[in-house]
Amino acid sequence: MKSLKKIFLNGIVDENPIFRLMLGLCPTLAVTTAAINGVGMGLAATFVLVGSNLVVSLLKKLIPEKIRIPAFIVIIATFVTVVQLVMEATLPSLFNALGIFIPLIVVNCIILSRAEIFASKNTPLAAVIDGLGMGLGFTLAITLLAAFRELLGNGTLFGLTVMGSTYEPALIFIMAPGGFILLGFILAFLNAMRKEGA
Amino acid sequence: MRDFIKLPLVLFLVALIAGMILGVTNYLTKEPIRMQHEMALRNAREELFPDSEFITLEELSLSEENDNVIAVYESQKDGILVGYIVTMEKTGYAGAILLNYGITIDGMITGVNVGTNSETPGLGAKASDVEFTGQFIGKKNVTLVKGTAIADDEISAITAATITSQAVVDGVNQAIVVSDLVMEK
Amino acid sequence: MTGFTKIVLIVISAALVNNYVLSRYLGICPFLGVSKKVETAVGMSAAVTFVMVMASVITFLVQDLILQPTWLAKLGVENIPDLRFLQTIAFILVIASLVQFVEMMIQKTNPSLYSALGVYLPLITTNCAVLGVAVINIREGYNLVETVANSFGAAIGFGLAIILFAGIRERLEYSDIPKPFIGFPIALIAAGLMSVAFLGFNGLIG
Repeated sequence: MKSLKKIFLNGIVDENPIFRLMLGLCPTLAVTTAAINGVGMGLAATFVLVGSNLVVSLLKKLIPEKIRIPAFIVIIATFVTVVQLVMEATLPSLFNALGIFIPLIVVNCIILSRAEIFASKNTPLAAVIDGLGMGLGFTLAITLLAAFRELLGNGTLFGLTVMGSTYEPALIFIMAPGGFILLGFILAFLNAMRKEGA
Repeated sequence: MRDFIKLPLVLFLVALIAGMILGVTNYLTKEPIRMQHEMALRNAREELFPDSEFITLEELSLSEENDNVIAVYESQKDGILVGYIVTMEKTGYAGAILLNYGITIDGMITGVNVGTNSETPGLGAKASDVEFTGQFIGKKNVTLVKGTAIADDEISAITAATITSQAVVDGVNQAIVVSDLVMEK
Repeated sequence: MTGFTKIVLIVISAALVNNYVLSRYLGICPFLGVSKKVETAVGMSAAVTFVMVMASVITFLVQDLILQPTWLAKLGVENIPDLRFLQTIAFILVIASLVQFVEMMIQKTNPSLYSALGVYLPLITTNCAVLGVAVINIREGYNLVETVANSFGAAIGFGLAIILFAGIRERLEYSDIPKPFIGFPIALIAAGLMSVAFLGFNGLIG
């Protein structure tokens, strides 16, 4: 059984859900038009991930194997709805910015796969740590992508003007193609780095 | 046979508990959500007709083409009708945009307040910026142009966000028509 | 505009102008995962089309009859319960059950397709395009006919994107690609270029 520290770091580096496992890509491309949205989505998903991992791990002996997937889905959907309602009540601008991708957290493959692969087979504490690690890895990855897109496509970072008035923003980065292409280049870059270090 | 009963039962129990938790959360967040909407409306009113009183018009009975109009408010200063706020939904690039338009009784635009929307930051979301909405103030019927607006009734579209810009322009023209209709009654 | 024109516009808009994969960013996981061979892509789009349209119809009915039962007013009921906060849970359960059902059907009628699709079939449950289109139908305020049109258009768009992409990826297999780019990176860049092409549809509908 891995140490808790290893489990935590695993989600951030070795098995980073976006850069390595290639899971949870829909929100990755869609909400990364502004860095703050990336952070918002990341934290919302992390909350759901930690919550569902915890509950799944606590109930793992009680849920019959045959209905585990629907049961996991109900648990995940509950946490997602809680996030939805609380966000609408407290952070309306983020709520509007993330739009349909908030309810779509329920089909974020990261959450269901961690419930199935890890939470249902480990202790609650390990499950929580795994959730935190994966969630943080996800948040860092999408915030990075969002930061690039916002910087190159709008000249701002977290809403603050960075590039100066002479910079003509390359709007393509904020539009759909930009997301695909930029992520492709980031992955290629990471692949290249890995091969050299290996 | 036992499985046949046990499996759906467990699932039902999980769903029941989930439903109860959500029911409680929903109950707790209902009031804060309503207050958010109220605050947004209040801000819109202050922006479009500062220091005025507002009366909600109840029976609107508008034709089908004005189905997207959510509400019309009479704006009064010291008891005299000054204009209307027309609240409507227009479809932008990424779904519905809530729009509040201030129209005087002479059909002049006092302002455009962009409410809830999911438009792309840096593109359609720029419709909320005063650089865009400020163009409307003092004009009557407007048309959208790409590039610089020259004539008095032209509005310059947001770069690469023509769809969003057009929705706001179409909406304001519709609002002027609606305020006319309401005034006649 | 006439009802029929509106329906046609909804279909074209969902399939091309606001293509669910290349412009709304929905359904990316299966888009990247199942697009290595044109055959599997075709099989997957057929399954997704069926699930998408059926799920949209059923979720529409759930929303209209259970979650926001305005019909109760006609029966004279005063306090109509507002269960909209149960939308996420209800919708995803409908989709999960539907996919289970489709899985069983395909297993019985076409075992070779079943083994070809493999694990990707149950993954349709987590295909954000399916839940996405169900939620969008409600948010756009479509009636039942418009809902069917929109989901059908979305499914066509998804199929179009995934099959075209599979064709491109099959060609990429034979090309000389710099090492770091092999696999997902070059696939993403190719998808980006496809997305640029679809941007061209933007002005199609007024």
